[in-house]
Amino acid sequence: MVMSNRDRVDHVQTDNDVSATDRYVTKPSRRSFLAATGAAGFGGLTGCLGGGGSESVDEITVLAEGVADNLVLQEMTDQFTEEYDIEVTFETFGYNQVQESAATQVASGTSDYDVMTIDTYWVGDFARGEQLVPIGDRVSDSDMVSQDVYIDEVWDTVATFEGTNYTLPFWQWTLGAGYRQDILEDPEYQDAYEEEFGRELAPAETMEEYVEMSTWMTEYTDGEVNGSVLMGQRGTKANDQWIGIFQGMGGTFIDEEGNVRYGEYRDEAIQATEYFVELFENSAPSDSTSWGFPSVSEHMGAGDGFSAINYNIFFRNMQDTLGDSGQIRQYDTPGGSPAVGSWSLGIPSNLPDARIEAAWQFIEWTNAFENRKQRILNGGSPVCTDTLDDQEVIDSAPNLWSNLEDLVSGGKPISKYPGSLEANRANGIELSAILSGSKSIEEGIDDGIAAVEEAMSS
Amino acid sequence: MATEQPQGRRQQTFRWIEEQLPVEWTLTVPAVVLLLAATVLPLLALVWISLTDLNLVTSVNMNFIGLENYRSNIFQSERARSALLTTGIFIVSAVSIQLVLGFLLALLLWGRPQRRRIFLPILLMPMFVTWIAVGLMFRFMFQSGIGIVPHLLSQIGINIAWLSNPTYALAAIIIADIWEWTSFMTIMLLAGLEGLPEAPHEAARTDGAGRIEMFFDVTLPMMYPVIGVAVFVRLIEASKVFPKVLAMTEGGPGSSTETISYIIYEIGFRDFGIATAASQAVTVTLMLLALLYVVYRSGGMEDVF
Repeated sequence: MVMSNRDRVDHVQTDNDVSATDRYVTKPSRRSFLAATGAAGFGGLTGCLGGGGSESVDEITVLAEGVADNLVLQEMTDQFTEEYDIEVTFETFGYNQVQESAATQVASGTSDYDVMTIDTYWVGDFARGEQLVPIGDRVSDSDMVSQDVYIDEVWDTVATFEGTNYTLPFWQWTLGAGYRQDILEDPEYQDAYEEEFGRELAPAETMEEYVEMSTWMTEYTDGEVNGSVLMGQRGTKANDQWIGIFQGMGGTFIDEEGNVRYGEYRDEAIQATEYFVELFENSAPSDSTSWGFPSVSEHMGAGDGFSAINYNIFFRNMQDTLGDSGQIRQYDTPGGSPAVGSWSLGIPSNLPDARIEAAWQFIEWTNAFENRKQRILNGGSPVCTDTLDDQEVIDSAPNLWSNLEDLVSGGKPISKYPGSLEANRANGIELSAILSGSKSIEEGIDDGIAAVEEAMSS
Repeated sequence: MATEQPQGRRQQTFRWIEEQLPVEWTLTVPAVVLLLAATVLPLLALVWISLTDLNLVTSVNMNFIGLENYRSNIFQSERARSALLTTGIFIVSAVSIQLVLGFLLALLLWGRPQRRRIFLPILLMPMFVTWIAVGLMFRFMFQSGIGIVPHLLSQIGINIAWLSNPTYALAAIIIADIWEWTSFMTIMLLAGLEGLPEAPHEAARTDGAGRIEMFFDVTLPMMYPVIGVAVFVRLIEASKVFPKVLAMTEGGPGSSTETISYIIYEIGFRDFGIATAASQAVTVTLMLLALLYVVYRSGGMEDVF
């Protein structure tokens, strides 16, 4: 009697007289082996070929930083699921983890993430490496999104690279100056300041005025209120802030074509750094040379600061923490021309067609007017002119949104060219060395210029 | 009967294999293959990548550039040299203090079971805390304004901005490492002390040796192999210092606390320069192997390993 493979297994499992070895070793037939191998091969092939676009996707995963705009969007995704029948999973991390995950996922065979939040600093690197799906045609064909509504500087800083559209702006992080409006309007402070300097206590238009006012405020309050709350943490934090001061004095760090211009403006850089150091020495909280934006937000939120030059999105946090005990209003940075940066939504190019399509549907939905508006009302930040023209949006945070378009339009986009992140970080390390006293201003700036040129040339 | 013949042939085959290859070799083959796949292949890949211009994100093609990464990013790089120096300062300071403190604690517990039962679990606690948590904990402890350390020091008139000062920031990381790893030294050395033979001590006591004399002339020389092993293990561990730097200072202020592991991470994953990072990793591995060889030869460990 010839036993089939199935029979053999049953037989072995029930027959007590076979050897222990035979009990567990059942040989598959050649045909079943080939069938299994073929199935595995087919499975692999279909996986490699990406299903040819006909496969439907019922779930997408978004890689995002754990900050307000992402959390707000995350809370709204049920609406998307309802409309498109696609579940959305958010994986949120800190900035560094998001960057590491994004870099390693785009370099892998197939990305685990369908949608990635992309920072200004990475756009050039990712685009140069052909790691993102160009979406220009999709944007042109869409009746939900349009390039025309985005603030030009935000679009320029993150959405395109060398003429190709890779991402849609999501939320911007332009540096602004936040002042305690209640202190600015307080007659006691106004009179004392006017008596001392012969002019009104008002947001500073130049760095010289800002340093003077911040120092005065710190001294006048015996250090109870810091005139300026800054973040000196090495790397991009210190540098993003410093670039605004440098540009406000007429300097250019890296131009729109990705050319390093820093060295040409050495004098402006030294002057800007002298102001920067003076602020930390005379009016910023002690130890703030190691602070990042959370510490600044906490300090301002606790009512211990008069002004802060910081990413504008955090003024909302500061106000929320401050509550009724003070009012924070956003103004231009001294000298104008702050650094404009933005996060955006992009699609990794190593995805099968069906997943790319689902990812685009999500990005398109996220950027539809009603959803953009809802995101702002729920705690997000605007990147488009149409939402900033909306009265309901303005009324939700008039101290922040009424002049946001002017603030961003007056700024200069941070460089997105490959090497920009390394360049900005390198200069931020030099600034940190200057602030800690390890290097003189001239020495640090010269080293910074050299490091930025090297980073952008490689 | 028909099945007996193949079984007999199989047994003959097994016997032949056993004759050709000792059973201990045959049994270790799977483990060795796995080990090679998990360590040697990545290591070879690392060396290969270090000889190319690969960028984690921008490289569409990878080009062979020989030793260029080694030349420009290690020997001519001020940042890499500075990070190596910082790593060296960290290793020497942390490991030597841990050795002295660990030895003192081990001596206090040596031969006193009751004391050991009470204090050993307490001493072991820091080793149960994950590295990154140790870093975060000490960051908050040393941070001006909220930290317990600056607060207590300010009570006696000492005001230090620990994490903003290049010297003190590195000291803070060393203190965190000492807190975490001294107990390891204590355990290793205590185990060594408990295993020492009693006879030499009794002989020394009979000869009228004092406690200090006995320690330096009898106990310490007999402990050299154990000390060597403990230092050996700690050197390997300390050379990889990374989570504490990441959590406490991110390499700052300036580049004062950048260790070699930290810049390898930053260059490789934050600046996408994976080939540069690979060349630095290879160099550091070779340097560490050389250092460990010196410790091995001079630490009397030939008898141990």
